[in-house]
Parts: sequence; structure tokens; C-alpha cells
Amino acid sequence: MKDREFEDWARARLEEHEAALSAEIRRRLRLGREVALESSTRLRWRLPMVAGLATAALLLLAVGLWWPHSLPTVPGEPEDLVLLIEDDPEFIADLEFYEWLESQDGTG
Amino acid sequence: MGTDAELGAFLEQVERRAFRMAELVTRNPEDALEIVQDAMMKLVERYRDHDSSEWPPLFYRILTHRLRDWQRRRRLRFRWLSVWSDRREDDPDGADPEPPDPVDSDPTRLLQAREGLEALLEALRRLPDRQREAFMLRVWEGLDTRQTARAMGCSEGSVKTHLSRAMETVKREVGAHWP
Repeated sequence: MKDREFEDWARARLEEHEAALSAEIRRRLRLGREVALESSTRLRWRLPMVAGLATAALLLLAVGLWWPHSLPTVPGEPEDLVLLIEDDPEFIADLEFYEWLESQDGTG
Repeated sequence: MGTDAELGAFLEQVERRAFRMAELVTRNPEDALEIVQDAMMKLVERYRDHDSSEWPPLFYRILTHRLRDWQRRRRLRFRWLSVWSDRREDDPDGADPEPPDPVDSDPTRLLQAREGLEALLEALRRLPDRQREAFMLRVWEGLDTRQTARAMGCSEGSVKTHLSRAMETVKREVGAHWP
């Protein structure tokens, strides 16, 4: 019996075995795959965002506490700033714009 | 770098074979499903950004490790059950635990197998773990020697040795059922 012929025979039997999987097992494998892909996608998007938000909030709080006049006027308490960032993650990126906008209001 | 769609297609391509491989070791579809899903999760979490050509050996490496871990835990459980059983052997109401050896040692079973598949599966179950892994990855999954070595965490020379011994044993055991 040659190895190559035996390998072909064994592979054919194992492929029959694979093809004979029940519909229920196939369904659960598909579900498992979808869960794996989706959970990882959620994790991938959430982790940097949460980490970024936390870092930004802490940085702003620290700067605000130690050097209150370094920031454009933001109404409310520091906790409000955290809530504001959670609601609008792009707020931090737009701070310069708001500062510029405020200056325009005063001069325009 | 592979895309999410490619990763999904890869998992769809391997999940059924992976399940059959896990089932061969665990003999339990629920355990096999859990192990395969765990392997899929770990591949996605850790290696989704790798080149798609790296996924097959990485996936089977994870699967192989999970199966070895499952076997280790099972042996440990049976060891404790065995100790417990020895301590309770005089107790007529004591539970009768499962035998620790997962391999069917009945020599007539192989001879009675009517189909080649049954004989083949039985022969594969009887193989030492490393030989079975080499056989399944090379012959069924079609990984080359380098990929198989990476999946098994050993040298290419070891893969060749394990495969050669596996082929010899499996051929001998299913010989009567091979047309």
C-alpha cells in the first residue's frame, strides 16, 4: 500500500465524516464563529475609545485643577466634563474650534 | 493583513474539520464545540491583524493547545476520581466512576468495524497525541511540514517522524478495511 494512495483514501473518508455533520452542529459552529467575530469587533472598537476617553478626561481634569485658566471657559463641574466627553467623544478634538468660535463672538 | 471578511471565510472553512478533530479527542460534541469556539475566539482576538497565510498554523496551534489542556484536566480529574474510588471501594453504595482510559481496548472492536471510516477513526483515536496531530494536520488539513511544525510547536523533523509512525500504525490497523 503506497503512502500517497492511503493518504487519498484516508482524506476521502475524513471528508465524508465532515460532510455528515448534523445541521444542529453546523448551526452551532456558525453561531460560535459569528460570536467570535462580533465580540472581537466590539472589543476592538471599545477598548481604544474607552482608554482614549479616560485618558483625555483625566488629562483635562488634571490641567483644570492645577491650572484653571489654561482652558477655555467650560461651564459646570469637572464631572460634567466627563459626561460631556462620554456623550460627544469628538468634543476634545473640537476644543480649539470652540475657543476660536468664542473669540469670534467677542470680536464679531 | 487579512480582512474581517477573509477571517470569517477562513473560520467557516476550517470549523467543521476542527470540530471533528476535537470530537475525535474528546468523544463529546459539547466539549468539542466549546473547544473549537474558544480557538476561534482566540484567533480573532490575537491574530486577526496577521497575514491571512499565517492563520491556518496559528488556528491549529491554538486548537492543539486547547485539546492538550482538555486532556490534562481530564486525566487529573480521573486521577482524583481513582483515588476517591479506592477510598470508597468497600462502600457498597459508592458511585462507579468512568474508567480513566478513553481508548476502547476491546481488540475485537476494530475487527468488527464494518466501514473504513470507523476503522480509521478508531485507529486515529489509538494513536499517541502527537502522531494523531501530525496525521490530521498533514493528511486532512493539508498543512505543509513547516506549517504543521508551527501548529504543533515542534521541529519539522519531529513532524516527519510523528507522521511516519502514524502512517505506519494507521495503515496497519485499517489495512483490512482499505479497498
